[in-house]
Amino acid sequence: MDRSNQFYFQWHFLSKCNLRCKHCYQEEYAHDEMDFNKIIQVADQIILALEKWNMYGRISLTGGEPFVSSSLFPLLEYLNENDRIISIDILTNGTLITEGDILKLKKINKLHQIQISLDGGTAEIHDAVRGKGAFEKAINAIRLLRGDDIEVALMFTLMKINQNNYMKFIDVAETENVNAITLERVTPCGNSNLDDVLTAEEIKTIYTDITLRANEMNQLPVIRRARPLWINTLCDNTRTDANIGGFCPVGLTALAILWDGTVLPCRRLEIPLGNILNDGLFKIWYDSEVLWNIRNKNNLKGKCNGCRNLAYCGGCRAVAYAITGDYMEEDPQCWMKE
Amino acid sequence: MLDERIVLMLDENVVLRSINDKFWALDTRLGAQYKLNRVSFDILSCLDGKKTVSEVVNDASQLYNVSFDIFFDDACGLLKDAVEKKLVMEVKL
Repeated sequence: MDRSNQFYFQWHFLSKCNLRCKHCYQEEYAHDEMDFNKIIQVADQIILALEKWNMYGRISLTGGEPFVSSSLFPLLEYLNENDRIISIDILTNGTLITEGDILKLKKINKLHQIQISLDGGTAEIHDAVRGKGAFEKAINAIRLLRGDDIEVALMFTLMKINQNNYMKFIDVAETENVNAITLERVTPCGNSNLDDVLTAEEIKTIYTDITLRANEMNQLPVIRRARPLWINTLCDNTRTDANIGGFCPVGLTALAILWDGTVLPCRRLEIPLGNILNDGLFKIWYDSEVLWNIRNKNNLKGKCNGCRNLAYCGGCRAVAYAITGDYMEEDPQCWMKE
Repeated sequence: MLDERIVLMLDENVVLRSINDKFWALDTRLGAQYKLNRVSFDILSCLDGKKTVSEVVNDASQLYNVSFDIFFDDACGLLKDAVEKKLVMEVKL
């Protein structure tokens, strides 16, 4: 699918959550949900921008935990009706999805995938991060969804506690016949801190292992590697697989929106750019110094600047910011030499 | 033709931005975006709400080391177009 005319919104439309995960980028969970009329105002701002830019929106709805919200399905229906929205994902912990929800989800024809967070391939690890019983509930949700032929992706957040468990995670993904998996590095913000963060060498080992595993896999799941650092797993300078490596869309074709309308470059890059309800998207997108800095690759610092893999990487600006305080610094978890 | 004695300024909702060799005028209220070339960008950047059109053209012509007379018609055409698109407004002194 041509993505040159697509814009991605990760919309955390509520902060409430039934879990308290150790690494969550959110620290507060008690905010009241936005009134549904206000939620629709946010949606309309998104649609207005897409119309003006002649682009199409891919939206991930998340929280908090989206399935605790009574607004989830009305919002899904509203977005589903709009021609500018071409794809909707839901990012969830998977602990609250019921058979009744499945029936309603089946009616959302633009629903692309349900992404369930699974931070371990075993209950021991996953529950240590997310709370007792969370693994079993997540697995049940995966089976419910796949049983009804709804696409499922799994998200594994790589951190110290689960750094030896990622192969088990891939085993689970294969066994449960999920469609795609993402393994993303933890960003030390919110409840997470530097103690959770893996070293560059540890990341290298993990990414290399996963690459070898991916090369042996012929069927599902797809391992999503069109992201920063993955290009470095190729042993030479020849980029033979278009699905490996990718420049992060932050500042270019992506934004995150929080429960109160605050807009961030990315959920993990916690630099507020404005509020979509007060400022509108145009002012934020056109006038933010942060976004203009990120857009200019020449502003990258350290070994990211001039890196031979820059076109397919650029590092993670959120990780750089969380660890160094400078979002244009080199990615601290990159293992490439100068 | 634009009156060279008037004073122009960017609309308060319009910002000028550039990355490397790409230039834009962006309307932060209505969302319109206009791609510019470097000369247009430099001319619009000279608008400060104090200088007359004639003074702005003079400043911009010096950036490119061309004579005022050669530069004038093109620059005025650009500014007239910018006024019509409401990127630029006249300052009433």
